[in-house]
Amino acid sequence: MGLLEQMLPSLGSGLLLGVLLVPPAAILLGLTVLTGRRKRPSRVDTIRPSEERVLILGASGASFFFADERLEPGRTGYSRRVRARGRREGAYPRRRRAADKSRPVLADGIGKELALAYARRGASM
Amino acid sequence: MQGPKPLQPRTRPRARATVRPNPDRARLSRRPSCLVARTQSKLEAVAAECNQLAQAAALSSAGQSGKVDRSVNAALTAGPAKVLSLAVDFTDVESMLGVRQAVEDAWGGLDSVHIVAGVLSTRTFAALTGSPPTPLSTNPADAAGRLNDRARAGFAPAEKAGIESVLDLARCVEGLCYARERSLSRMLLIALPSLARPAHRRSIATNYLGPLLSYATFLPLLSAHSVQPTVILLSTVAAVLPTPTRTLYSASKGASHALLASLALESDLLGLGVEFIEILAGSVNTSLRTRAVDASTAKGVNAEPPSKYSLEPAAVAASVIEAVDCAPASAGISEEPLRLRQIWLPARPYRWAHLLYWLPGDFGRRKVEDGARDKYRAALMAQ
Repeated sequence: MGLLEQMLPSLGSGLLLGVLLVPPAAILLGLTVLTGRRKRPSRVDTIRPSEERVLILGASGASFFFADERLEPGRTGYSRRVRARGRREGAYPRRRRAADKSRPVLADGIGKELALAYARRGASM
Repeated sequence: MQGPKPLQPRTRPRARATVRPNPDRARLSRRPSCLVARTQSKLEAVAAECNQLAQAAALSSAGQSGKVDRSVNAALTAGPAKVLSLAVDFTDVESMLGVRQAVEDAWGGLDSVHIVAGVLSTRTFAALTGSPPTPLSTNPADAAGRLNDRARAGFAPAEKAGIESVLDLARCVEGLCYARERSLSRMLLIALPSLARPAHRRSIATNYLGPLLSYATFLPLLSAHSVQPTVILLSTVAAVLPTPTRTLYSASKGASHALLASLALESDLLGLGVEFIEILAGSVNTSLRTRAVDASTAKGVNAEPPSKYSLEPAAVAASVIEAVDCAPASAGISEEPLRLRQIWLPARPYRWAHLLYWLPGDFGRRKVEDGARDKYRAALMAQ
């Protein structure tokens, strides 16, 4: 009896601790399941990137190139943060030159970016 | 008397989970891609850039490794990398059959089909009926003010032409929903003549009929000639979340979303082995808004503030390719079911918004709708 009396408080606190810990653990587990874990690229084991036959369907030329209104003559239109990131990735011009101001600026559409990415990937893998 | 033969699931024998030796490897090692759109000059420019890039990458790869891999060697000796570019309308049946024939002749099959097409409509539903949209009093307690505003703005019943316009739209959506259970030809007969306005017809045709026609044209080819075929539809979060001033766009993309979900399941039951991926993207920094079918009349387009979650096209392309590459190894080559994969771009906030929107109770839905209200209020008031 004495042993039980000694154990009860610790049992109670253990239960309390369990009750307190279970909801956060359940939430964490739920979030993990919902967000999913990142998967390893596995399709490349089945189809070699250099041999993949890809069809890219666009509705118009704008799927590949489009006139970017943000690139007004003399200014890039991008924020400083975006310009800095763009320069790092080599995606955007630093600033349009005076000679180019008369022409509309064409930016790369998603279709073109996809085509380039496939070309790059196919050659490197 | 015997009843109809029950459908036998997964009748198609699956291939082994190994790299299938391609009999025409030398030809295929030239990174085959086919680009389809309506403007030949732009496609040729992309094709030329792809070829240059591929050549440079192959040379760089050969230089770095110190030895020339067999596939790289084939790429180098085969001359310029071959990127097909076909200028056709992808909502036209004859044109798409031509594309299929060209692809079959060139490569004997396909592994991936990307549908990267969308046409936006930015008018409010009231504007579609021909009634002027009414900027209401922003004070929720000012009911009398709202009533006065309505009277002052002439929020009268729409004229006959306006109602017919909406009816055309309704027939279109009805026809599309009806057609999901009918054949392609029947659907084309129902949906296309019922659309009166060319601009709206283009929107629906591109957003819904284009993907539908693509599936009808290329699914058998994909299934028969690829070890792990994939169809990727670049869709939008507007297909599954409410977006004011995008009613027509949202409806057509929603129809496309429903079609893809049903088709993915049906294809799996039939054992076609094709994996479907739906990219649900938010704002992407392209000219979609300025190219809207009613851009000249939709004054509010430029009033919309840029989304803080906007993505660049290159980031979207990288995510798409990552999604394709991360297909389960078993996809198409085992008895495990193939599920439609949905990729949210960016995952935060749209994936969570979708989850919130469908939670039981009003809290989540209210939060999502408040976000949409805030985002589109300026465009709505400007129209």
